[in-house]
Parts: sequence; structure tokens; C-alpha cells
Amino acid sequence: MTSTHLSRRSFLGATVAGGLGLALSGCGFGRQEQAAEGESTLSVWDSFTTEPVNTSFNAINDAFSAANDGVTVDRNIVQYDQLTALAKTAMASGDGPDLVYYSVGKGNAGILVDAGLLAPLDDIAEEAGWTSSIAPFALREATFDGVLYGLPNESEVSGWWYNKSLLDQHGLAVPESADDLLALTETAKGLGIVPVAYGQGDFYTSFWLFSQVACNIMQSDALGRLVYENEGAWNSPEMVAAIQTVFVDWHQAGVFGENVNALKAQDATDLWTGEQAFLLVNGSWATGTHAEALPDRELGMMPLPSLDGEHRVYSAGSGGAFWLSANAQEPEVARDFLEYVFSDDALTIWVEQAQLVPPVQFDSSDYDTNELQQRIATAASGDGDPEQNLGYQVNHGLAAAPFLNMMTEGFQAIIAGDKTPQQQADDLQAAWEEGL
Amino acid sequence: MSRTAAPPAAPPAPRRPAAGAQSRRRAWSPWRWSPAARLAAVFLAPAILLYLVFVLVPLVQSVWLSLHEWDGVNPVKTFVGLANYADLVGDRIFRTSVRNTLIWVGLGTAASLALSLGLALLAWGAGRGFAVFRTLYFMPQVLPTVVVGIVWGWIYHPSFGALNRILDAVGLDGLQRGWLGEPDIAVYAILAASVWASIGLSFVIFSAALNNVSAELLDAAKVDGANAVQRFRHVIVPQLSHAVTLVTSLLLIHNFQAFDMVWVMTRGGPQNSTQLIATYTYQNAFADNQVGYGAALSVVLTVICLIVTVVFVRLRERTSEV
Repeated sequence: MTSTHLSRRSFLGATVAGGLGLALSGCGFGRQEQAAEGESTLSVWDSFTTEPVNTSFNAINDAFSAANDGVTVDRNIVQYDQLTALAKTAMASGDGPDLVYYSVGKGNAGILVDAGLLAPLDDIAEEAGWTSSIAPFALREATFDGVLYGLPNESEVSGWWYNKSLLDQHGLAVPESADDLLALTETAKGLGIVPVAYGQGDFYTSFWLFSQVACNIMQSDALGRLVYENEGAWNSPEMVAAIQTVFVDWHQAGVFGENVNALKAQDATDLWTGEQAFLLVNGSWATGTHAEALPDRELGMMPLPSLDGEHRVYSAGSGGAFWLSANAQEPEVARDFLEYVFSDDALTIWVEQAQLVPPVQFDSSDYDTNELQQRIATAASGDGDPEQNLGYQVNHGLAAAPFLNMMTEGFQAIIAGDKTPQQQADDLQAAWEEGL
Repeated sequence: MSRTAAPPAAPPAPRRPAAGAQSRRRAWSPWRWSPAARLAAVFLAPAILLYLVFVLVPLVQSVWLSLHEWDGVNPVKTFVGLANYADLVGDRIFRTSVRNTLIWVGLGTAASLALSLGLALLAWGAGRGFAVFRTLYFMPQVLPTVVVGIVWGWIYHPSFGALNRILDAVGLDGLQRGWLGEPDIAVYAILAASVWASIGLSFVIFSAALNNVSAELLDAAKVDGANAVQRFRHVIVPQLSHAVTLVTSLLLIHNFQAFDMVWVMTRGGPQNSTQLIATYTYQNAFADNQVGYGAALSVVLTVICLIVTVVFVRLRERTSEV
């Protein structure tokens, strides 16, 4: 048997080599490549994973690079859930991007603001005229303690999509009131078609429906004060009655079909695009997808039928916004990019290619858009009276994790018959206060 | 017994503490090690370094974090002592997650073990034409867990899913349900998918071990009049003991690590009924910005893992001694 020995010199050599290897391997970690003289690379992280928004954002980046010599946009696309965890960790460690597309609200971007990781945008907002051109609700969503930190790119409204062609086919009309809806439900059950496709299997879908309920029962102004200024309560008698109507009475009447807690948002969408449902709880962000899935059908979107005879209000919000890192490597280029986001050139791409509704005043008929896009754009921009017609998303503003979790868990429990509307309203109020 | 004078006490040995300490220091100096020891150190160093960096340091950091309130971003962490652990006591979702984790580890391990051993026994005696089943049984093992979760999500789909359609086709439409939407059954529905995905490797290990079972002993048992169950219990199982230990260990590890299947299929819902400690940890630390509380949950999971491991090893040792 031969034995192998390691001399002192070899031992020292191996140790030094190993240490050097480790040190060198760590040198490039988390660092951006230095741009050449006169050139700069803007790092942007976003979650535009779906089409046509993904391709459209590439087009905006390319157009920005073409308009600015020596500027390259280094785009990193990350799934929404992962981006929420990844971006805050990266930014806290100083390795984050120059610009990040992140969710609005106290529990999302608010955390980054509190940690001093985002740069204020008030000066650029004044310069670029955003304070007058961008819808007030959108600015409100990106403002913390009176300081604007973000630039929302989209006006999203959530409502009920309807397939008018399918309704016509069965001699039915779009339901405009609660009574219409219950009548439609009876007929739909006989046809084996789901009246309104809605699933709470995802953690966020109850946010949409409860936002619509809150807009409907509180109207825009009062809901805005509750969501952003904590004036009011979630467990008012009117709110309890509204929860009872929608989540108990309508569910038991079969408005949402069966297995509401087992269906995810995509499952509900599949039911609707497969023409196995007349209506769908969803939002304006899906306009492009729906138009592609049902190209020959007449589609539209409406707010929740009125619960108390009052004005019907869309719940509106910004899905996300662009935020400038306080530690940005290229802050000036990032500011130029933000200004470009709502330039005339970029607006065309947002409207025509991405089929989104930017939160700025524009005439959709000036763009190459189809009829459906124009109808949705009209609704999402407030149909001439945004203060009256556009409400708020209850998961934005001051809503924090306890409130969001209680919406998900509590409305699932109501549908399962494990909780009363009064208990849910009280739990929502308690969770709201816990998160403040 | 004669009494003799005690010999004069030996002069005290000169105290040489300095020399003793020096020799101890020498023993720790790598320059004094034998060449073989130095060689061993070089080969062991990378593993020790990796273990330190990726296991021990994070573990200590987790314990430290669990004593703080921290949102994961703010540079300021507030020391709260054992408050996070105290909060666990009153946390209903935590209790659900512990119960589900124990179901996952206990029932999941037992079911995977039994199924993979059963399938291996079936394939063991089968002829050449049945070799395809070995491939089929192993195939789920090569699929990423996320893919398995998505596919089983389709199978369980209340409207289009294969399971409800099959039940309808065979006249059991009364059993149709939204499998992932009912709190009482959702965790078992996901566990079934996990078991399906995890039996491949166990099956291969048992198949290999069965090839080493002594045919002479089986023949002798047959001659002695042992029936199939007796031969399995008293001849086959003892010869598979090492394979059983290995498979049980692997399954325990796999089931304690369970996270992705639940996250993909239900994200802990409905009504938090499918939360495992791992998913609840992730939700707190990364979604709800409560990193300290999440760290406390991860410490609890580590402690449960350690307890189960120690119990398993002790039981195994006792069985071996018998």
C-alpha cells in the first residue's frame, strides 16, 4: 500500500490556491459591468411576463435606446411573486436595479420607501408636468407621506366582462341590476352555463370582487378616504349587508357556479373564453388576451350591478409603477427613461401594442385601436368623470399584509360557509388596524 | 501482612505548565501535523467551508433573526427576545402548519414507502415484458416538482379535471368535488400528488435491493410451509433492512423539505388549510415582510427535523441490535 504525503510547501500552495480561487470567484458577483466611456446601461427589472405587454415593453426600451445615443436598457423580467421578494432583497443589499416595476401600496413599495431605498420624484414630476397630466388616483397610489416616489404606467379597472354575443345567442341581455343578475342565473343554470365565472383559489382574486363591492356600496370618495386616510370602517352595517348579498346570497343562488374556492383566476378565465360562462370577474388588464381568445365575439366590461340603487363605480388602480432606486447607478438616465415612458412615442406603444390604458388623458380614437379597446379605454379613464366613475382597489393604499391575508382567507371561509359576513367585516377591520 | 515503612515521597516533579501548553498549541498547529493529516485537511477543507457558509452560518443567523422584528429591508432590526416564539403559541395558522407538516412527514413517508415497496415486489417477479413498468414507475422522479404540481392541478380541476371526469364516467359522480378548494381534503389531495412524484427513486432502490435477496432462503421458507405473507415478513423484509433505512431517510428529508408542490397548487389555501411550516415561513418572511417571525418558524422546523431524525436513528439502532 502506498501512502500519499503532503509536504508543508504543497499544503501551503494548496491553501493559497484555494483561497485565491474563492476570492476571485467572488469578485464579479452582483456587480454590473462597467460601461465604456460615453455609454451607459440602465438596469430595469419588471414583471411584464405576459403578451402583448412583454413585447411592447421591449419596443419601448428599444425606442428609448434609439433616441438616446450610447444608452442600453438591461431588462430583467421576473414573475410578479418572485419580483416582490427578489427586488426588495437585492435593493436592500445595494445590488438592485436602477428602476424597478413594483406593486403600489403600503405593504409593497411602502416598505422600500420606509427603508430609504427609493428616490423621490417630485421634482421630475413638476418638470415633466405629471402632476397635471396623470390621473389623481394614480399619483395618490405612488405617493407616501406627501412625496411622489413612483410613476404608474397603467389605469386598471376591475369589473365584469360580458360576452354579449353568447348572451344574444340565448336571448339574454347584459344584467344591469341585481334582479337582472338573479334572473339570468336561473336561465343560465338551465342551460348548463355558469352565469359569472369567478374563482377564489388564488390569493388575490377576492381583492377584485371585494373592491368592486366596496366601490359599489361606499362610492369613490368615501372609499378613497378609507383606503388612503383611514377615515371610516370596514365593518359598517352597509358593508356587512353588501358582503351578505354578494358572497352569501348570490353565491347560494348560483351566480358564481360551483367550486368557487377551487377555481383560480385562470380557470375562471378559461371557463369564460371557452364560452361556458356568460360573465367573468376580471379587469381591463386582460383586454388584449380576451380580444385574442374571442376575436369574433362582441365583448364588453361593466361595473358590478348596483347593490343599493346607487351609482355604479369601477374599482380602479395601478397594478404597479416604476420606482427609481435611491442607489441607482444611472440616476440621470433613469429619469430620462421615466420621462420617456409617457412621451407621445411611448404612449402609442402602450395603447396600440400593449393594449393598456395609461393613466393620462388621451383620445383612444386617435390611435390604431379596435372598438373593444376604445370601450375599455373609455371606462378605464373614467368616461369623462373619473372622480365619480372610478373608485379604488382596497388592496392598495394603507392595506398591509394582515388585511390582504384576511381578505383571501375570510372570503374563502364565507363561501365555504365557515364564517358570517359580520365576522368577516369585523376581522377585516381588526386586520386593517393591525397593519396600520 | 507486614507493615513496611512507606517509601519516602518522591520529590515533586518539576511543574512545566508552559511546556504542556506549548505541546497543546503544537498539536493544533497545522505545521506540526503529519503529512497524512495535512492531506486530509486539504480534502476536507472545501466541504467544511461549504458547510460553514451554507449551513451553520445561516442557521446561526436564522436563530439571531428570530429574536428580532424586521421587515427584511429596513437596516434597523428591533430586538424582541423570544416574542416571536411566544406569538407562535397563539397562532392558529402555525398550529395548522405543524399538523400538516407532521401529516406530510408521517403519512407521506409511510405511503411512499409502502407503495414503492409494493410496486418493486410486483416488478420483481415479472418477466421481461414488464420491464417497461420499471421505467413508468420511475418517470415521475425526473419531473420537476413544479411541473408535477401544475399537472395535478389540472387533474383536480373541478370542471375539466380528469379525476372528476373519471368519477363521472364510472357512475361515482357523487364523489366529484373541488379537490383543492375544500379545506378538509385539499392537503390530502396535494399529498397524493407528492407521493406519486416521490415513489420513483424508492422503487429503484427497492428493486435493486430485491435482486440481492437470497433465493435459497426463500426456497427454504417455502419448503418449511411459509406462506407469501410470512416469507415477506420474515425472509424478504430483514434482507431489505438497509434499503428500508435508506429510503425512509430520503423520504423524511423529501417530506420535510416539501414546499413547492403546495405553493404551486394552493399557496397554502383554502383558508390556510394546506399550510406547511415551510410555506408559512416563506409567506411570513417574503410576502408579509415579517422576517423575524419567519425565522422563528424556520427554527421550529429545524428543531422538529432534529427530533424526528434522532428518534428515527435511535429506533433504527434498536432494531439493528435486535
